Amino acid sequence: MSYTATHHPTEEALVECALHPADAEMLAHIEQCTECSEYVEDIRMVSKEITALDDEPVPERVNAKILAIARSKRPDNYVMTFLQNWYKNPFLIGLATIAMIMLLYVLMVLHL
Amino acid sequence: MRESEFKKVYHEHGRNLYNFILWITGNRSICEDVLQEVFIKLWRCSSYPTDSEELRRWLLTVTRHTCLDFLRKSSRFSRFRIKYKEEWYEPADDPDAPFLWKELSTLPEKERSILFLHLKIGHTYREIATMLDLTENLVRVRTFRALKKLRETIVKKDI
Repeated sequence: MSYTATHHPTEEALVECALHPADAEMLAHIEQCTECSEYVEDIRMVSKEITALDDEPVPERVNAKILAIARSKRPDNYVMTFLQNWYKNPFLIGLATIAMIMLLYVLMVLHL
Repeated sequence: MRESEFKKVYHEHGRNLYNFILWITGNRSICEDVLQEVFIKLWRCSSYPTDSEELRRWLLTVTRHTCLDFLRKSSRFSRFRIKYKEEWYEPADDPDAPFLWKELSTLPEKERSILFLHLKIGHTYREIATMLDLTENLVRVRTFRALKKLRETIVKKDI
């Protein structure tokens, strides 16, 4: 695609170029076009301001509370974890299926 | 997860997550609750990723979901909503920051999250797409929309 004084890149393409300048043709156009270069500069300024916003430190009180989590016991038990996750284990699914089939077979035999 | 490992993860990611929550909610007291909740989930989770990059993405995703759950539950109380808006984070030492924060707060949550993940943390569109369950193109479009809106208001302010 070729850009001219009357045929400018889309705004979306300009934003993309401001953040990740890669398209050589577009960069050449931006260099010559005041309108587009102003737009790209504005976007770069906005993104720079966002990047420069200070990160807030985590309050000490919160640090202490969270680090205390690791000193507490993990929610009791492996039984609960097992009950919540057993179906994710293919071996246990197979075992459960076989057990179910055998149970059905026994029930059928007893019934007959 | 062992205690030492948990501490290492917290020291490595705690601050980033805290600020991510601040970006999503704008409220310090929610930050504390949500951050605590996220690390409780990590401590209780038996299948968290072991690779450090994957863990970072996992934590950011869990943090965002926990934030949204928290806001959804809290929005039932109108009094809370008012308080939440009044408490938008405004650091006092940077005279321009309150304006930028105010403008950021007018963006939809998804756009704010995308800006944070892309511009502050440096994640690629693809990584963000995976974390937010969007397509890569949609992430690009939302980044464009957000920056366009911010440019319009910031340029207006400068004029």
